[in-house]
Amino acid sequence: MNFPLRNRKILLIGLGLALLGLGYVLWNGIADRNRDVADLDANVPETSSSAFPAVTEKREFVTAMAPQPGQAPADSSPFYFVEVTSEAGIDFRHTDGSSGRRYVIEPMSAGLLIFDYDKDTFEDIYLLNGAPLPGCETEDIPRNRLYRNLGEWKFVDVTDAAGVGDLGYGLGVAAADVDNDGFEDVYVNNFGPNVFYRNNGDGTFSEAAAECGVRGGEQMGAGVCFLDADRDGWVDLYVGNYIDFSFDQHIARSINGIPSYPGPLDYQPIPDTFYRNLGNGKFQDGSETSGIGTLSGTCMGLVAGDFDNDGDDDIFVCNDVKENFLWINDGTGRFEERAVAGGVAYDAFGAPQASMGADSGDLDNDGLADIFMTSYQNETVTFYRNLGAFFEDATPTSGAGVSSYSYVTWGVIIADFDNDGFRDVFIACGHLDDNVELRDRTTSYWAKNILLKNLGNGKFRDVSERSGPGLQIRLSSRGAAAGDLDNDGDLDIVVLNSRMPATVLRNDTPTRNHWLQVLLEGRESNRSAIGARVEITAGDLRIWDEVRSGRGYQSDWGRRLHFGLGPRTMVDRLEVRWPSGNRDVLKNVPGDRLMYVVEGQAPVSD
Amino acid sequence: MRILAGAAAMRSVQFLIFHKSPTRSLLIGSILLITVIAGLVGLYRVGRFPFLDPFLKHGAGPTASAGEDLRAVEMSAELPDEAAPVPKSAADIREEMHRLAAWLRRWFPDAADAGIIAGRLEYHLGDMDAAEDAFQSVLRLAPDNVHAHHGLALIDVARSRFEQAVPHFRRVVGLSPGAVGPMLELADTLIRTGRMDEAVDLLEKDFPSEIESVWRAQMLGQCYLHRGDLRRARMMYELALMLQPEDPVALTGLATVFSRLNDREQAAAFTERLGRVREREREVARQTRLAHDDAASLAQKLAEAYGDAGRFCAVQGIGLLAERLLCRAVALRPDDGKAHLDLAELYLKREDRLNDAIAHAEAAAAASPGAATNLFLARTYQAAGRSDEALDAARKALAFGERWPEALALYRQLTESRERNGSGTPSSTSPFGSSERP
Repeated sequence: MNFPLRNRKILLIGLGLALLGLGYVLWNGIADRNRDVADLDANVPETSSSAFPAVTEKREFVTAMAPQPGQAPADSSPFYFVEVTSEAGIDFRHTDGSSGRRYVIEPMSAGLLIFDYDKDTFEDIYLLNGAPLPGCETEDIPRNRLYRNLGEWKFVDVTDAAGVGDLGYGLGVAAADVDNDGFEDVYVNNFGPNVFYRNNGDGTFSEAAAECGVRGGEQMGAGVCFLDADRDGWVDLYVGNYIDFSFDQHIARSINGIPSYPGPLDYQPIPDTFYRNLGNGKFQDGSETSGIGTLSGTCMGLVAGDFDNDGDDDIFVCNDVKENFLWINDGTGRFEERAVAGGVAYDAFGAPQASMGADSGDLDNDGLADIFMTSYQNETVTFYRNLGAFFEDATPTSGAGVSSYSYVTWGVIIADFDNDGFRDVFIACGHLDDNVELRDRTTSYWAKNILLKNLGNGKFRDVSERSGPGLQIRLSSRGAAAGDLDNDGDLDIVVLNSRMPATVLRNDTPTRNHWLQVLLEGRESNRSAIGARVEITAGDLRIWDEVRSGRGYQSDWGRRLHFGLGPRTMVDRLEVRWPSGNRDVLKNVPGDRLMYVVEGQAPVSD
Repeated sequence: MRILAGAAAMRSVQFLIFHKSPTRSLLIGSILLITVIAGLVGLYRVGRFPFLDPFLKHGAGPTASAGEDLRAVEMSAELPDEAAPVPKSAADIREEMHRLAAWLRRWFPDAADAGIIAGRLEYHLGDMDAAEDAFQSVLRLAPDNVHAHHGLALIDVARSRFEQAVPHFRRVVGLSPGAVGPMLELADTLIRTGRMDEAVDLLEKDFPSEIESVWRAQMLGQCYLHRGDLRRARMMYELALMLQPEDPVALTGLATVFSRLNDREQAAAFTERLGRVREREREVARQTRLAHDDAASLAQKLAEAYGDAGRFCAVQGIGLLAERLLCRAVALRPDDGKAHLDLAELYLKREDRLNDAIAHAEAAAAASPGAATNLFLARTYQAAGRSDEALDAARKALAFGERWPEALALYRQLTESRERNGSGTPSSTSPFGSSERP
């Protein structure tokens, strides 16, 4: 090698400098990571506390999920739901009648009804629809729709034949045999005059709201339920009213510059209405005498049940951004409001929630009726556990609030979807603002619904992601109802979606668990047996349920009581406590069947 | 390891190069040298060799500061200038909030403070992904930045990720010793995740005993109620009521406690009281909603962000940008005392802007009357030679009572200065005629 010394030196100098530079850069990178925080913090500028939720300011957000020690991996779920809407022939599409003006009524959408209107043992579906609001131009006039279940997942639209295609702005619905003729009648709570469809028993209905004295006025309706408040054998009617609203009171709202809807705080609350059944097919407004009319609220969903276990039906009312009501029945149809003392007026933090819907059922199998309530974004659902004399908000410790914080939740169903003897919870989700993503990326207008598995120890686990394609559908859901639509021993779900087609979810959960369904018919008690309580003992399992009318989010289902028995094939004892005070006891009832029990008579099974 | 690898590489290069012709060797060496020098210059331009600044600035004279000014000018070109109209609609304000956040992150990627301001802007705009990204980048720069941890905790909560929020809140508590706010937020989150025992420990054992907090009492009441300890629950709710007589949460809690104690009379009394409080609360909320101005609310957040950004730039020594940002802040929010004060401080350093300094100091004192603002106003007048007005401002500062020693010292200094300048009249060194503090 012959290399001039001078050139070699130049090259070495260049390489040396290159190494120096590389070393310096590397050194700076290490030094940056170990930079003294004190120096940095010393330069932090003073920022105004109002510019950001400061560390000294109490936040308003609400309940949350509980930690799940030893939680099973999220990949396990016993449920499996499949969407079969088209296959079943349900072509209903909801409309909110909107025109861009954003009236407060638009996002409320509606509830639905699952009931057997023609007593052919197949549960039928009645879906409520909106109506064109000022500024909305449409040639297609929306109507409520009734689909008759033909069996084997075939439904046919019988709206016209049945005469139940109301053109009003439907919000809440419930059914009951009002005149004790053996056929369930239907009450629709509208924005504007309400509708009462008397079942003629031949597959048709007759509108008789005015005749029966239950037409109401021009209020904005909400949930509705039937109950035999005075235990006289005739079901009475509780009609929820939301707010005092008319179109000339409309207020345009925006959030961070994005158009939004006004809320319940922009309007005055109004009292609900209580109609007493006179026994001759007519009703009388008993709002004042019952005590119901003495308080104003912002009713959305509601559910009746024997919450104090004294043999009569009480009523839990969800009030939107206001304390909830718990109307305790004294047995004669007079009610006293006791939500605060009862522990269900507010959440665990003493804050009113934007309460939407509520269902009732025994979630911990302790013999007491618990309440599960849905609410708004930045609030979770609330699990009010019944402790006997009062309720406690058990949401944080039960895990029931998991996943719901970011979403607006509406319909809610307490039901045993896998027949293991513990009731699970289905929650319908979807925001009311169709443009919410423009101002808030933590939520969405369309959302998946939530399915909570009851773990049997007072805790719940969200199994939505692994419960089949039916739980992956993203829409803005509202009312939801459950029923065994194919009579295969498990409960299916129907969901009404705002501005979109309904969703019918077939329960294909693979399970070997056994079940029993009980359909009651009152004789001394009201024919629908609303308020009747059925208790079942099967080995070590003791569960019960109550016949209700009107529940969830402005919906109704469940006249046929469904019990999951787990591995047990036989019910040792079945006791029916009728609203009349009568009791019927049956022993050694085989599972996996539908039982008809008539008050005072021998049971008939299918 | 890196040094060994570098040496081996150099050896290999030497071997390869020395086998080539000398001319090629010279060429390669020159290229290497130029590359290295260019790299070092680039590193200097981004501030990697601060120790060279004194030498280069001294030697280079106006060239170095001119370079900085050029950069500041380039940066300020993306900001609204002084003549730019203030956005009126909420949509325009939102747009400007986005631009400011992007500007901060673009030009100050390595500044934690800028990242915090940007993150907060995105949070207010509801863009949680961008906000989270901003706060995370701050943590990469400064793992113990309390504001970043706080921001991430709030985002986790908004996204239902409560378990992830707890460690961030814990970090905030750890980094803010003695600050009760973070403790209360942490306790709140623990309760919401069902960790009542931890919440009780935090609120009972770690919370400063000398501080009275309604929120603490409410949360302890809730925890004890959950435990079934009605006696302690009642104590806590009564404490909350004592601190805040119409606290609806305490009233609810007491109604619940008495209901569980089967004392229907007391339960009913508290329920009735609660009903009245809630009605008033609801009416206030209704009126607030009626009066709410969406655009004004957003404008306030934007103004505060501009103020924060201006202060940040002032600390960084970028006066041009600080001025532009603070001017925008006061344009958006003319009653922002802090921004006026910061602008006055900026102008006070420049003899040609003394009148502007006075104008902003006066605005600050008007918007946020207090000892601090009047003290500063007095000093500003003093700098401008307006001794009578300075004395008057100093007297006002004294009247507030805070920062008394400082205000008194300035007052005396101004008085003595006026005497020395030939007022001729001996005057008391005290604004109240004696040296005694009222």
